[in-house]
Amino acid sequence: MSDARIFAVSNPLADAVDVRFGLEVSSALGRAGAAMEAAKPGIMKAIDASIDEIEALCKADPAPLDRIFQLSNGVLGLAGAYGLEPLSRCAGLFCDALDSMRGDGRWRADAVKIYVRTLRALGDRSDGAVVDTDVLKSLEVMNQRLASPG
Amino acid sequence: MSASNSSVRPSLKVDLSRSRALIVDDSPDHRGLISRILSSFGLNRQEKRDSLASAKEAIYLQEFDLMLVEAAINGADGFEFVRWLRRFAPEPNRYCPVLMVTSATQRDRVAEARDAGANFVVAKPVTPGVLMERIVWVGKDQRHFVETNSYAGPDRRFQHFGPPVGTKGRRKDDLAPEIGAASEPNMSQGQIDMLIKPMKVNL
Repeated sequence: MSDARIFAVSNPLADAVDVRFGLEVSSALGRAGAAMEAAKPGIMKAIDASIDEIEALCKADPAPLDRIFQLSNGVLGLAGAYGLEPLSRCAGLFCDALDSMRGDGRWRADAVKIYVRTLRALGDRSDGAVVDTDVLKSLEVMNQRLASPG
Repeated sequence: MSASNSSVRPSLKVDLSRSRALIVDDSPDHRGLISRILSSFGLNRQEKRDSLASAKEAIYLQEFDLMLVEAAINGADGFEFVRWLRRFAPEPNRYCPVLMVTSATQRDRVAEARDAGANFVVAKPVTPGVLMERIVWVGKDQRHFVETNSYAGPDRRFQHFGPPVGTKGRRKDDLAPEIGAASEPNMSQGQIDMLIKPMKVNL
């Protein structure tokens, strides 16, 4: 028998949502959309800079896995928030792959190279750039292999 | 951009002008993005921290009404941070609502966030619609707080949570306390919500 203590706590946000006077959710979301649009140029530059840094760091020996993970995790969040879904998904798969590598303590330069190339290709927003989202399925299969023991 | 993909009633009103949020994220751009979204919601009193040590300092200095914590700080220390918060942080911050932001949405990782004591999990990418939805949910969250030897946080009793730490479970879906490499595909935000959203059960 464990000694569980169960008690009520005051919710500091209880008086802040569903209130009589305040900002309508529709207005708040509209304002957020405008704020994100205003920040978009800077965010796109940040995404490009992150991919540049990932590419450079992956060439290092030993490669700083934690920093690469952090950058890729950032690309996932930023690209996804701005509708760049294939790029966001690729960054997320890269994070999963890095997690697998961290787990078995083995740096897989071949897989990393493929990820860096794909991030670079999906991050290319210039006219005429082709986004081949089928490549994401291949990356998922590759991740399954990385995660499987042996 | 998906600013309006929220299930919250558009005419519902929020007043976050007196609320204070702690944003813990080691990516400056992502931290800035969340900060911008919160400011748009009228939540301008924000403390932004890029490390867990610095976030702990802030917790000793100010009271917060909401915390957004990136799970993957230094690998996965965001979970450890929430465990610390629920056990050792000064009151009332110890009971502060926590939204855990994570890119790893495999079932075992979401379960880890829940078992660390987070109120809700937000799958990356974070959009205004999803963030607003979670803030409203948190505001309406009336769960009691539970402290046991192995857990401290919002009441999780809406499904089976696995065997006590250090014991082997008897059920096939018992979760081990140790979280290893991902073993399942990522879950959608809807599936995450089903796993972590509180529901009443017969006790």
